[in-house]
Amino acid sequence: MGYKILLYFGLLAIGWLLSYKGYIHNKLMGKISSIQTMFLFILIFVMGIRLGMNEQVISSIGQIGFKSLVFAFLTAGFSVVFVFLVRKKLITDTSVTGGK
Amino acid sequence: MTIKIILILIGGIISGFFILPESIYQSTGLLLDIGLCCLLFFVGIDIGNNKETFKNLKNVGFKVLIVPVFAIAGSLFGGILCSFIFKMDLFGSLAIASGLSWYTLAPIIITPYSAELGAIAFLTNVFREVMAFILIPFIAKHIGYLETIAVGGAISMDTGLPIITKNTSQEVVIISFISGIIMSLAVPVLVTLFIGLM
Repeated sequence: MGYKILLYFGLLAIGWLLSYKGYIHNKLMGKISSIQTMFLFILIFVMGIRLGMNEQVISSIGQIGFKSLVFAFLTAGFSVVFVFLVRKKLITDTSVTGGK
Repeated sequence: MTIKIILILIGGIISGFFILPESIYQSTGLLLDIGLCCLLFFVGIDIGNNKETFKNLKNVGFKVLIVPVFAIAGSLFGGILCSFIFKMDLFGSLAIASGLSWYTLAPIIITPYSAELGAIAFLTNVFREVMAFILIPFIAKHIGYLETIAVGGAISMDTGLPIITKNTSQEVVIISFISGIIMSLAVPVLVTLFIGLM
């Protein structure tokens, strides 16, 4: 995992540095959002393929699917609720909170 | 955005289940890694283009640490509720809840203690990751940006980051990456701790 964190951080940092120093052409800059969307959709499609091919996921859904769904819903849900309640009191900067 | 993500995900699942040969499974892992690396590079370019990002982050300071800490606390609370709902062992439930979407790691630690809990942990974390993909655009629009990091947990530093990038601000992308690392580091510690207490 350490290697992956370093790789991800390195790529973010290189992209940031090139852009911050003005080495990225304006034409490419204008297309960054579309490029990100394209990669995002490709990644989600490939993740879907992997889920569809994963026999462990497909075979266990019937037996423990409901229990797992409740677990996923409550753990993710309360994570959102806890962060929402605390950040409302402590963080006010709208560029970070999203203006809600 | 949410509808597009759901449709593309379903398209991928159908392709993987019915159409594509199993032999490409290994290649999809490599494809994911390469795609994610390219995407992170472009996210970096996007952040560097806005000179205000780090100034805004400085204003928030160490308070950003509340995101991973309370996202983990919320997950554990959800796990406690599940133990009551399904009359399961409290620490077993907490171990499942500590997976924070990392569906390849949590089940590996849990399965030697209980195959059933391991299977639940696996599926729970798969569902949580898929749920995060689908809900992040909705949460960003109707609840807030920081909550998009909480819903996916550990995936906020990798697979969840692109969707967070598309739906929030550059400041949040950096907070997401840092929070994702903290939560990823917490997963093996918490799962091992709770499964040991079972």
